Amino acid sequence: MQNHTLELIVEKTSRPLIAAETDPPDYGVARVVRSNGGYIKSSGASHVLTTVTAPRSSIITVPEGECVPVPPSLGEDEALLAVPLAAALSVWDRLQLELGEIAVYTEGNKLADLVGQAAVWRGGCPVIRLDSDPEWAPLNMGERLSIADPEEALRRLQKRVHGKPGFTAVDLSGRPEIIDLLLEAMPRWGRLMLAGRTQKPLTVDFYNNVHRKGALLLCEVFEPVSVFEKREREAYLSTAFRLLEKTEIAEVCSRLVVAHRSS
Amino acid sequence: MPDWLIKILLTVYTKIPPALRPTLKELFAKSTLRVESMAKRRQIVQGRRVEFLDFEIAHLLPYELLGPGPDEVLVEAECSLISPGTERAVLCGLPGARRSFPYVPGYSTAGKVVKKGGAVKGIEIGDRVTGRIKHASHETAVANKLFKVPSSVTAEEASFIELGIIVLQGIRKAAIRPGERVAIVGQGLIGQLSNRLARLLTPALIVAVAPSRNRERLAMLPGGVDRYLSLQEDPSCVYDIGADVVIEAVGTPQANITAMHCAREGGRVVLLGSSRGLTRDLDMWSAAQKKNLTVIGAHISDMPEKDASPQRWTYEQEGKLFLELLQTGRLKVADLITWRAKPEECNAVYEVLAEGGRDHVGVTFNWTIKE
Repeated sequence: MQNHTLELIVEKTSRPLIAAETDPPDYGVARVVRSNGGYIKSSGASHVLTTVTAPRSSIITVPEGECVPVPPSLGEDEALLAVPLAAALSVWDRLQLELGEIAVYTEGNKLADLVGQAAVWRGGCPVIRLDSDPEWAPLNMGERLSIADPEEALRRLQKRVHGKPGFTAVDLSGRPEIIDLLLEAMPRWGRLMLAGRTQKPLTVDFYNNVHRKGALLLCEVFEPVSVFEKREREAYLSTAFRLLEKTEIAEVCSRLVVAHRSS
Repeated sequence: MPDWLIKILLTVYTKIPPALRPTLKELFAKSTLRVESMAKRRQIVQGRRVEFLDFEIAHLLPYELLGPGPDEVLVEAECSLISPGTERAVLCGLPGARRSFPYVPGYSTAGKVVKKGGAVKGIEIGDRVTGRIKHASHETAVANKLFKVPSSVTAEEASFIELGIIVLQGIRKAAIRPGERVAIVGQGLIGQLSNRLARLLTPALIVAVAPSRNRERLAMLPGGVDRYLSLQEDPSCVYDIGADVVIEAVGTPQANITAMHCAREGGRVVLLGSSRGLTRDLDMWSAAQKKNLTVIGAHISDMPEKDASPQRWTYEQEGKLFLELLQTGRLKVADLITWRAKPEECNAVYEVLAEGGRDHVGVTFNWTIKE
């Protein structure tokens, strides 16, 4: 198979969410200047999404396999939203969230609410945010549970979980007390993603909270730019593009991501 | 018994000198059993069973039980297999396994049906059965919770039933694909059974990871592992394994971390051993998050009561499969037995178990040997 490359001009970039240790690259929208064949050329796409290491207006050469064509109906800003949206959708995809299952997410990074919103769009019911911010307003169709008093939060979450056939949760905080709370509240066959960078050593009761519950624990770090590394990159980003073509979804994403974005 | 009567009896009981209490307790139990026998028109059967009388004290004692109820059968044991992890945990009072004494251990026994209740269908007197039965010469059990043993399977092999089901549900959750690299951490009975069941899924390599080389010979038998690593010789060997799938079969908090170190980036770690206690000071970032690990809990109580789904079969389905694997010769377990003990030797057996089991893997009680 021939290795096609694209010559691109970087038009707009966004910074990754975390920079510690992993040092992920920026990502951005770039205009196609030249192509030596390949499916992007034949698709006629004028812009692509890709990871970038060069500043705006730079000319870069990138293998076609690292680029995803941007639909012509989307502007640069909407195209950039596809990356965090795809990452948020991939969280619940990996947790296999089903219609009517509980979806719990936590505070911890600027995209937390986009992750929660993705759970609502995937049919999570209820979608509960655990946080310590009394000012925070719940998402449309979402709930909030304060963790100011962890014991009370655990009691209330357990009550909410009781009788529900499915439980999924994602921790974005990396904080031991929140991870502990989620592990304790998780019922049998629960699925939990530890997606917040843990900074402190944890004490985990694997016996009671993972082994005996038959739980699934996914350990990784939520970093939107990582969707470029996933095998399903094309699928995730294409799905996100299709969603962003709907004005109401693009508006919600834009509102939830705006604090994070920089050009 | 009504609450008010229990209260009166307890009040009287606490006023009796402690030295007399066991005798009185026994008398009371015998009397109530006789009353129950008359009321239910069920015979009293004499048997012997292993009892944990206190921490690290096990004895074989005579006992009485009622004959089978309408949906039950009376099983005369031939062979029972010790579940080393659980029984040691109870015997030594390990965290998460506290029981009140006396305690009757055991849950994996094969034997013969000698009596059956009127409503039992599909099992006849003389049939060989296996299932969740204690270490006892005679025991009643609900008939539809037992498995009929195929004629080509010995009682010794069939007595592995419960341990086999435990490991099967874990191996199923591991979803091993042909060509993958598998590491089995721990080479006790659960670990050795994991070796053999994982082998049925054609991995490219199975690596055993154990504290010492004590169980190497058994692990390397046909159907076992390809490589055997001793942590005593090289504690850092785990970092070079890079397994796609790791089965944790030790059952200690530290072993959970060892298992994570054995996995490659993006690997799956199945927690099959009962790691009673807390895993402290775990650097989740280095051990798991950085490597994108998936950690899967696998305990027998997680199995669905009915209706199987992918990677989650019922207890009954796994039990039938286990016996089928034995029957067809795809799985061999008899060579994992390192000590065929008489029930009368139970004191010595549990003493060894309390010390960690030495080199033993499979330990059975043979109930057919008459004194």
